[in-house]
Amino acid sequence: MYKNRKAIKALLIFYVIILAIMLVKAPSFFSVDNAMDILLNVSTTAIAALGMLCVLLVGDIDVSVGAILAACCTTTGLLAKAGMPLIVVIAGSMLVGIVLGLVNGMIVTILKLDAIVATLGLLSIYRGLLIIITKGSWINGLPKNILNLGQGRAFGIPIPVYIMILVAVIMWFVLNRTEWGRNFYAVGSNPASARLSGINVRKTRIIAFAVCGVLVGLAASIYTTRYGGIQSNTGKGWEMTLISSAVVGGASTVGGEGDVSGVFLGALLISALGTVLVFFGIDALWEQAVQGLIIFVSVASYAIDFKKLKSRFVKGGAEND
Amino acid sequence: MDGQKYVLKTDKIYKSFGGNHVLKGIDFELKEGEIQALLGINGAGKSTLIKIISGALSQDQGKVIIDGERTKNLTPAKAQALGVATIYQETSLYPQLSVLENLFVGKRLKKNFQLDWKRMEEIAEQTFQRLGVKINLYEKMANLGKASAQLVEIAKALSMDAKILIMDEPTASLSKQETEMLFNIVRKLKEEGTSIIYISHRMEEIFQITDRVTVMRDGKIIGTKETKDATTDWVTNSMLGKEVDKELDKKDRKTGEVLLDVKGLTKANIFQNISFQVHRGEIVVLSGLVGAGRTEVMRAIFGIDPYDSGEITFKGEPIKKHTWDVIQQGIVMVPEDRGRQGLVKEISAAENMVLAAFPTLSKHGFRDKKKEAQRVEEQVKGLLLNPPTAKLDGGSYSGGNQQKVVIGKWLNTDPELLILDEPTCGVDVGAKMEIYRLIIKLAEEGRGILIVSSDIEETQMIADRIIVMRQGMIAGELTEDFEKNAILGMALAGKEA
Amino acid sequence: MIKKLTKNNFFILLVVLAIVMGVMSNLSDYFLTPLYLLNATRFISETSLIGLGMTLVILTGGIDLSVGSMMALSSVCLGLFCQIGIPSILAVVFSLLIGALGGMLNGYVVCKLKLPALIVTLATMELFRGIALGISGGSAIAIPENLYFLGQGDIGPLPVQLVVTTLVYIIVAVFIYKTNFGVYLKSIGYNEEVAVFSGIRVTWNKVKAYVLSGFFAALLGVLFTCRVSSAKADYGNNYEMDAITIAVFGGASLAGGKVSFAGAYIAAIIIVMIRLGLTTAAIQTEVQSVIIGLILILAVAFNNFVASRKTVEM
Repeated sequence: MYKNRKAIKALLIFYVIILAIMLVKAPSFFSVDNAMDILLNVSTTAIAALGMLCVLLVGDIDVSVGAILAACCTTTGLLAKAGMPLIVVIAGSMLVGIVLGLVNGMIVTILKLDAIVATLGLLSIYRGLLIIITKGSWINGLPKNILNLGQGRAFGIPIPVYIMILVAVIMWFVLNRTEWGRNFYAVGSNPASARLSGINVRKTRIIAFAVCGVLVGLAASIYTTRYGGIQSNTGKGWEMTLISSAVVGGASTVGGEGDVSGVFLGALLISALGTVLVFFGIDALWEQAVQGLIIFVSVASYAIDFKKLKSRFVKGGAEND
Repeated sequence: MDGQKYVLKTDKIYKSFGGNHVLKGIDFELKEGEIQALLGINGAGKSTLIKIISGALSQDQGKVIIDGERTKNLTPAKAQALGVATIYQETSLYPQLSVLENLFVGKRLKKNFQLDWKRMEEIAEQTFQRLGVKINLYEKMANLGKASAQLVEIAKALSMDAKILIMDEPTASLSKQETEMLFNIVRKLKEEGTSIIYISHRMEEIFQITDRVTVMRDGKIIGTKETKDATTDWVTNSMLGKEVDKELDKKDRKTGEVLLDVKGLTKANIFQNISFQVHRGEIVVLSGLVGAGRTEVMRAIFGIDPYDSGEITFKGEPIKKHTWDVIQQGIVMVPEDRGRQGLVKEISAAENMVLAAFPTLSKHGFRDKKKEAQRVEEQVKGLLLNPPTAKLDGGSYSGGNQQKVVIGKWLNTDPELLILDEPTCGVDVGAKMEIYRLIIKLAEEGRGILIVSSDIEETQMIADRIIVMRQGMIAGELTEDFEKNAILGMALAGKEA
Repeated sequence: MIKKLTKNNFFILLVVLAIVMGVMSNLSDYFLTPLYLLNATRFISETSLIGLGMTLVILTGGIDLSVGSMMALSSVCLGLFCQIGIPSILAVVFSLLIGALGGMLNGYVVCKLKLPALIVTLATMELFRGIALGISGGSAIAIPENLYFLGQGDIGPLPVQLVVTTLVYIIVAVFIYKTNFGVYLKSIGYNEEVAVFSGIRVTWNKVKAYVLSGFFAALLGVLFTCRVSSAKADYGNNYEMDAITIAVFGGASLAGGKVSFAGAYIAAIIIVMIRLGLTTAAIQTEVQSVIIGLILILAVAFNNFVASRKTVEM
C-alpha cells in the first residue's frame, strides 16, 4: 500500500517541464492526432512493462522479454496467416508468452539461479531456437481484418489504447486488491519471512514470470498487427526499454516496490521521447543519449535525499577538518 | 484456570543437519495460560525447537502435539491456523510495505473476491489500541525504528488471536520503558489464556515475567522448574553444564593521562552537548537506555557519521574526520551488530583479523603474508579462540568467539583506545566472562576502554567510571558505589550527580 | 582426490574446455592447427578483457552493464580524435581516459547515491551508446593505418591482443593477490558495512573497480577498432551479456565477494572456442547462441549444486 510518491512526483514535474517547453516552442505538439500517436506508441511498452513490474516486485528480473516478444509476434503472424480468427490469434500469442514465462520462472526458482543470469541464457536460447524454427524468414502480408487490432480506431481512439487501459485497470486491481498481487510485494520485500507467513514463495515467483510472459504475449499481438509484419530481430534490446520504464516509474530492482501508475508514467516518458525530440528539432541519432540521460537523472533524483543534502550544506561542524 | 491442560507437547523430537545432531529427543510441555522461559546458550537447540513447533522446519523423528492433536507435516501456515504465532529474533517484517500490510501478510482478509483493506484497517487499529500504541498504519516499515518494528511484530501475532505465542528475545532492541510496556501486554495475554514460550538471555527478565523455566543444553532438556523455585545459579550452571567462575580480578590499575577528550559534541535531534574524557588504563562505561544516543556518539567519534559541532581531541590532537584516519590515530570500535558490522562471515577469521591492519602490515601496499600469519597466530593464542584456529569462515564461530575475532582484528592495529558497543550482546554466560577478563587485561596494558552497555550487571562488574546518557544528553556520572538504582535513576529521570 | 577435484570450479572448467576442444576438432580439420589457434587468441584476448572488468565489479557486489556501450564510445572517440588530427598515440590515450572517466561516473553514482549498480549502469549503457551514436552520426569512421598494428600486428610470434591482455591479467592478478586491494574488494562485496567499520575506503576502492572496468572496455574498443580498421557506434552490442556470462561461468556469484579470475579467463576461452569452432564447422550462429545459453545455465546450476553440497558437509 505504500507508494513511491517521490518517483511519481518527479515524473509529473518532468512532464510539466516538457509540456511547458512544448507549449512555447512547438504548439503544434498539442494536437489530438499527436496525442493519439503517442498513446498508441506507449501502449505496447506499457502493457509489457506492467508484466516486467511483477517480475521486479518479486525481486527478480527478466531480460529475455525481447526474445519472448519475438516468439509471440511470430506466433501471431503464423496464426493470422493461417486464417485463424482474431481471438485465437491473441490467445495463441498469450499462450506462448505464458509458457515461456513459466519456463523462465521454473528455471530461476527450481535451479536456484540468479534471475539475470538465467534469463540471459534463456534469451539466447529462445532467439536461437526461434530463428532455427522460422529459418529467419520475415512475416508479411497479414490478413486485413486482423490488422484492425493494431491499426483500428473506435471513437477516434486507437484500439490498443483501450487494451492498455483495460490491462492497467486489471493490473491495478490484481496488485492492490488480491492476495496474489500483495504476495508479489511480500515475497520481494522479505522472501524468508514470506515463506514463514505461509506464502509459497517459489509459486509466487513463477506466477510473476508467467504474468510477465502473458502480457508480453498480448503486447506482441498488438505489435505485429500494428506494423503488419515482423522481422527476425524483433524485440532486440527491448528488455532495456521495459526495465527502464519500470525503474523510471519508481519500481525497485531489489523487489517490493513499484506500482501501476508509476510504471505507466515511466513507459509514457520513455516511449514518447522520440516524438518529443522530433518537435524539439533534435536529430533522432541523439534519442538514445537523451533517453539514457533521463533514466540517469530520474533514478538519481529519487535517490538523493534533498532534505539531508540541505542540512549538510547548512551545518558547519560536519566537515570537521 | 485448568493448570493441567497442555496446549503444546512434543514427544521425543530428533533433528540433525547433515550429521550434526541438534535435537536429541526433546519432550517439551507448555501449559495453558503459562509463560514458560526456554533457556540455553547459543547452539543448545532452542531456535531449532521453536522452528519445528512453528512449522518452519520439520523434525526427523518425534511428534508435535498441539491442543491434544498430533500434527502432521506442519507448515508455517498450518501452525498459524492452529494458533501458533512466532516472533522471531531476526525481524520478519517487510521494510518496503506499510505497517498495516505487515500485520496481515499471509492471512489477509477477503470480501467478494477482493482484499478487504477497510476491515483489516479496523482490526489493526483495535490491535494497536489493545497494545496502547499509536502508530501510523500507512507508514512505510523501513521508516520506523527498531522498537516500533518489534511492536509491529507483536501486533502481528496479536491480530491473529494466537493461542501459543513464541517470543525469541523480544526485548533485545527495546528500551526499559518499552520492555515494561511489553511485559504488561504479555501479562494481559496470559490472563486471556494465551500460552507463551519466552526466550531471552536476560536473566532478570526471566525471573520477572515467567512461571516456569526450561533449560536446554546440547540438544537435550536439562530440567524444568517453577520459576519461584529456580535460582540464577541453577539456571546458569544447567545452561553451561559447569560452574561459572564469576570472579573478576579487578586489580587496582593506574590510570594515566587523558586519551580521549570530547567537548560539547552535538548533532541536531540526536545528541547535545556531550562532554567526557577517557584516560589511559581506564574502563569507562556509557550507560543508559536503548535509544539514548550512545551508539550515535560512538559512531560520530569513530568517523562513521558526521556531527554538527563540538570538539574531539585524542592525545591532545584534534581527531580526524575519516574512519581510516581515526584508526591510524589509535582509536578502534567494536560495533554493536557483529553479523552486519563486525565481521565478514564469508571470509576466514584470519582474513578478518588482518582486514583493518593493512596500513601497518603491508609494505608499499604489498601484503606480507608471513607477518600476517604470525600476527593472526598471536591473536588466536592471546584471545583463547575456540576452536583454536583462524582458518574457518568467520560465520562458523559461536557468538562469543566471533566477538573475539572482531577484537583480534582491532588488536592487530595496536589501538590505544577501544570503543566497544554492547560487547556481550547475544554472547552466552561463559564467553561473557572471558570477554570481561580480556577487556580488563587490555586496560591493564594501558589502553583506554570505552564501553556502551545496557546491561546493568555487566556495567557494575567492569566499570571504573560510569557515564549515564539520557535522551541524547549526559545525565550524570558515577565514580564509585555503582548502585543499580542510582544508574537507573539517572537513566530514567536524569538526576544530576 | 576425485571428489575434491569435482568440487573445484576451476578443474571443472578445464574439463569442459577439454571436451569443447575435443568436439570442435572433430567438427573441423582446421581447428587444432597452431596457426588457427594463434589467430583465435586475438578473439580470446578481446573477450577475456571485458570479462576481467566485469569480474572486478562483480567482486564488489556490483555489475556493469555499460561495458559494451563504453567500448563503442571509445571506438568512436578514437576515430574522431584521429579525424581531427590528434596524433594516433595521444588519440589512443584519450580514448582510454574516456573509458576510465565513464567508469568513474558509474562508480561515484553507485557509491554516493547508494543506487543499485544494475540501474545506474543500465542508464549509462543507454547514455554512452547514445553519445557514441550522436557524435559519430551513426556512420563508420576510418582510422589511420599506423593504428592497424594494435589490432592486426604481432609482437614476435604473438598477436598484439594476446600480449596486451596477458600483461593486463598479470597486473590485475598482482594487485588482487599481492596487495590489499583484493581483500578490500572481497570484504566490500561480502559485507560493505563491515568494510566501513574496518576503516576501508569503500567508495575509493569500489570506484577503482568501476574505473578499471570502464578502462578495459575502452581498451577493448581500441583493439577492436584497430583490428577491423574503422570506428563505429554499434560495436559491442550485447557485450555486457558476454561479460556477465564469462564472469559467472568462471565462478563468480552476483551477490558479490566470490569470483575467480583464472576461471573467468578459461570461461572466455571456452566461449570463444565454441563460437569459432561452430563457425568453422559452418554451423549457423543461432545454434551457437542456443548452445552458449545452455552452457551458461547448466554451468551456473552446476556451480550452485556443488556449492550447496559443500555447505551441507560443513
